Amino acid sequence: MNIQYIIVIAIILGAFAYAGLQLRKRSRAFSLKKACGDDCGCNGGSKKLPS
Amino acid sequence: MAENTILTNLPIGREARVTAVKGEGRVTRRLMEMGVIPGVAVQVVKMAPFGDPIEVRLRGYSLAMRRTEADAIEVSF
Amino acid sequence: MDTNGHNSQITIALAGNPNAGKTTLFNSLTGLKQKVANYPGVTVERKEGPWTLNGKTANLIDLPGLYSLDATSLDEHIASDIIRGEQAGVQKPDAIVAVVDATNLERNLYLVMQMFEFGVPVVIALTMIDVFEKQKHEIDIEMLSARLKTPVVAVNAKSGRGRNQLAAKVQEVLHTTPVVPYEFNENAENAGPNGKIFSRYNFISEVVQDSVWHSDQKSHRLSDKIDRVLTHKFFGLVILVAILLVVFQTIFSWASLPMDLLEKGFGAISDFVRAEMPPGILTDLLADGIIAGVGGVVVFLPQILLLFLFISLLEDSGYMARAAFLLDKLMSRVGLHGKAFLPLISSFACAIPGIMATRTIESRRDRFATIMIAPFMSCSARLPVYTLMIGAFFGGQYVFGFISMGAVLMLAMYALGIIVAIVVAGILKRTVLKAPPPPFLMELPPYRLPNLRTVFQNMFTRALLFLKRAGTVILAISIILWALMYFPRSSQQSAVSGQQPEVSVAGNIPSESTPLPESEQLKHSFAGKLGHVIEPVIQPLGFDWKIGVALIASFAAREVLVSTLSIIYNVGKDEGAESQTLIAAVRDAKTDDGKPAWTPLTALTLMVFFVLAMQCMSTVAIVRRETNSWSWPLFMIGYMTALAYLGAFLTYQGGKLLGFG
Repeated sequence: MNIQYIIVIAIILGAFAYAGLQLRKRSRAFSLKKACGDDCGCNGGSKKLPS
Repeated sequence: MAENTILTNLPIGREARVTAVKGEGRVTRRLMEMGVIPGVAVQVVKMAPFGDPIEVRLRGYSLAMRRTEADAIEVSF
Repeated sequence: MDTNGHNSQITIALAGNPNAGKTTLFNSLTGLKQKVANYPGVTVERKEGPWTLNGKTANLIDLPGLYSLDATSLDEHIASDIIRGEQAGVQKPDAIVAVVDATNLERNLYLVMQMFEFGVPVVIALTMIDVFEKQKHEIDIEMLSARLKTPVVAVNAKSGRGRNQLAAKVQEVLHTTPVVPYEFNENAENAGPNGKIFSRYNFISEVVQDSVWHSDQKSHRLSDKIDRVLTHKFFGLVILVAILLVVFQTIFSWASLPMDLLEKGFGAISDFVRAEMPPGILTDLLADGIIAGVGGVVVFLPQILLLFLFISLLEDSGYMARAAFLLDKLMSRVGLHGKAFLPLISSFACAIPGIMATRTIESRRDRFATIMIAPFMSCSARLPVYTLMIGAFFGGQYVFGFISMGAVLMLAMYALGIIVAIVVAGILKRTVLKAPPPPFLMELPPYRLPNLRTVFQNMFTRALLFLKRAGTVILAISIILWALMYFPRSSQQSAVSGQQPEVSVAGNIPSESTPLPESEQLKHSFAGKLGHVIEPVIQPLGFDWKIGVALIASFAAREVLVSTLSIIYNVGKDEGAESQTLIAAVRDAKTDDGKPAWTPLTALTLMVFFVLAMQCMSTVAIVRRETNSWSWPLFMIGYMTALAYLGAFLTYQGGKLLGFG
């Protein structure tokens, strides 16, 4: 039980850390370096309509 | 005997030649860059529901434009 | 040689009209090794890849498709800056490969004329020769090349045939100075600012006359025949709706089997974990948190794949342009730009690339109006939510005997988004974003058989992105949510170190040493407390606190609603209960009073909420970037949330009034 507990806490903290990092990434809206947060995918892949 | 009219009033399917493109804005310029200049052969292919936009054939391709744009194009057939 | 003083790798720009086969050529020249990013300072997409030129690797830049280098839109500015070597971070190209569509020669050559004027050597890649010749025309490539004073290579964009010759010619022209093959005639005809345009086209007409033999102009025959039906004055719109219905219906029916399999699979994994691992907190996290949460979303992969399949097919075939043609009148009535069509359609996949695509709209106000309404185009993240709701409460019903209720409702949700978008756009354009009505000038390319390779490439990329998102963002959120639902434990548990044994709470708790049933635990966890706090707010919408928790979580990512429900109904599941499918769990779910937590009306209300709510922080970030202010994104969050609440309220209360309780 103990080892399980420690692993779980570690995982949970990891998740929070990841979430925090993501939030920082999103709110760095000024930064134009990384266009998207690997999320929806902004390369789109969609062809442009003419004109 | 040549008849003059604007593109909007050109009967569907009738071939004509552009005689003038009126207007001075960005749209006019864009129209010309797409090939609508005096001398080019045009044809109205169809109109969308509600009559707007219309499909025009020129230089081997199809271009859709609104009636407002077509009003500025003078043709002769 | 370049402006930044870097040691130069050869840089080649790939330019041409939209629909000329440029991207297909780019793909076959670079393989799948492309890199997509952004140009510094602007949000225009930057696409580059390696192209092997006789042993040396050159950097091939895929410029946005354009009709002219006399820049009017942002795309065109970037492209012309790049060619001039004035785009920061990009080496001035050592040569340009001009992609020219043989079936559209004159207009395509216009751009090439402008390229000559920029002083960069040009090699023309002539595409669609096969189509051209099928139409019984002939082209004398040598004559064309001689008149244009530049090499012309026939290539097949799809198969890449001709690319070696193309590479050879490019190498030949490197480090040479191009010759402008014509002169500006300063006569009366060509006077004025548009004189150059006339000059160019006059020259082109001559060249084409000398090098092309047209048979009877029977080109586009088949396309025209198809168009007579598809863009018919009246039936055109009906057919559009019908096609959409068919698409949704297909997505439903084809996806249901794989989805069932996936769901059973995850259920089995969860059961396995429970059976094989010692009971304990880690097992709980794995089974109820991670597997339930991530699995809950991953089951929708087949649907997502099918959605993108159809979007690609519709785009590639050229039908999208017809749809724009049909809908333009409607769009222009609310002041929406014809060019808004593609960004809005892209938004059905994901609003982010859609919003970025608005950069082709020249007018700032038109662009902002389009950006504001893009999120109403139900994006793919909403799909799991709609599917769950429809699958649980509207499955198996048919309208007119053969159209599934599911497809109709799906279409209705998408339509709702579109209608609201149109209304909002109308209001915006009449007030804050008033601007003169935008022009509409759009090419209607001939219908083409969709390039299956591109389509499947697209689907594959999308699938990967979806899974990546599931494995990262959704995984993290699932873990956090599970933790919020698990803690604090409100009962005595043996040998749990580091945790305060809390006073057991009221209820039918037999004795101190027996833990509370899970369903009670849930109520007293962090999440449970939060849910109860907001319950009064969402009760008028017919939601109970568990749904409330899921709703809050979904503001991080829409699909998380499904994950959260999956976790809640698992975590809140008492010992010994079998794992069910999420649909079954939703149907069985009860409120604290024991009444069903979900009715068809509640499901509908939830869907309406999701159509209208802004629940994607990435979108907000993009809007902030593209509008360069905080007021627009904040405004968006504000009015969309209000609209979502209002819409859900009206749906629920209205439904109750009408007796749908």
